[in-house]
Amino acid sequence: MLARIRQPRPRGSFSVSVCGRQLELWRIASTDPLAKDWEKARWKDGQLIMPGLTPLGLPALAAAAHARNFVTGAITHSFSRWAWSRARFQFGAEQYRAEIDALALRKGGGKFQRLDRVSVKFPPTDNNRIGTTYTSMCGTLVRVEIERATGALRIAKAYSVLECGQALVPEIVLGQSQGGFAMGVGYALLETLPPYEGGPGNGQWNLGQYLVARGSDLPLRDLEIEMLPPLTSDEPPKGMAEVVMIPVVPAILNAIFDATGRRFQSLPVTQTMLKGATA
Amino acid sequence: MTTLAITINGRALRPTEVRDDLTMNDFLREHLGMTGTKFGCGAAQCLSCAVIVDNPDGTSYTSPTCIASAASFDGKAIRTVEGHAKNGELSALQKAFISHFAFQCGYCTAGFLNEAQVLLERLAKKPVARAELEKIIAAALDGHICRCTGYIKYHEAVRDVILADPKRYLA
Repeated sequence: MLARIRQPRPRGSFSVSVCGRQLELWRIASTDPLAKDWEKARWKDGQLIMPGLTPLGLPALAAAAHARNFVTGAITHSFSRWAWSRARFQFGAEQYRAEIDALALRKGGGKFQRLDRVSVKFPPTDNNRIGTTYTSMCGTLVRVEIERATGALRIAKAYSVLECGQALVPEIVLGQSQGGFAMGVGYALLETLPPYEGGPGNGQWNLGQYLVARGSDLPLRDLEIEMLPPLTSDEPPKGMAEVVMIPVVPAILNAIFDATGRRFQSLPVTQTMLKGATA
Repeated sequence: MTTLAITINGRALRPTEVRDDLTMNDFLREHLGMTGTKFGCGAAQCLSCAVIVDNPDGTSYTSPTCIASAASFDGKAIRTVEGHAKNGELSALQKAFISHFAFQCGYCTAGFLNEAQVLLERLAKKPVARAELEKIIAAALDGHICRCTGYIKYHEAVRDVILADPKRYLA
């Protein structure tokens, strides 16, 4: 079984579940007690791992699955409302139960075929009112340089560290982190919309006045992002959105305090305010 | 009305009558259906709408299209994001943007791509010292706003393309 499709849901991987077939590649008979343990198999670095057995490489598994008309692809659909939809699917002799509401499989080089579903359950609509917190933690260190004469601030170096559970696409988590850092810089130093007549309601505001961070506002070569491994091996992906943005603001304001002795109580801290503080 | 003669991505368009208050952005997106060029702030502040303008002397520059009339491009040759790939193969910059995950929503990408392409061509004509490269890339891209993820990754992607061919771009 090769479809390395993850359920949108954190728990386990769908791929492992549908593919009791890998047992054959491990030469485990269906009567063997080990056969009941196949859900313990895990993907790691391109290999299917099961305690006590030789890891199976993806290319070998793929070749065998194609050659022997095993499952080579899976498409799932699910729906979340702070809980996932659920259904059962008949798969060979087994009933497969998962937190998905549609499943299509492909065998060998064949076409995808939708499996019939039974016992479909959707989370109650009342769940729409629920708020859920995943708690992805984050911290930031910054080093700032403030030019005494002009109040111009430069972030010379920065470090952000976060833990967001299993990162499904680490490159995007890294990008979100870098982007979140930039937003934090804007929040701390640049972005403001005043209330009342001169505010955005006057229809004149645009990016010429509402200043957002540009590349030159960032330490382009000196921003280090550290993504910590999941707290536990089965920790779900928790989502991280713009969490990296948040501690950037107090980090910059604390750095300004360390540099100038001034505590600023409102945002953004502009160059004019900094010039006053360094005079 | 103005009769607009323009070359886009190497193809001369049949001269077209355009209203004088038609923006270049609307001309590209609405009249020609070339929606790769984006409309962002509408005030030439974000540069997501920038295209490349090629001078007769072989030099090029980028220009926003949101505040410029289509008529002001009469007689010019421009390149848009649709013109970078050749024979179905993405340009070195496009490949680098993808391999670096430089963009997320992609709205600013055409502008960054055009800007970086102009930079590459400028460096090919007039190479710079390695020590100056970071500043030159940063300065070239700085007019462009990215709100998702991109500044560092765009910067790294452009640098990688340049460093992959140092004889061409570096003095």
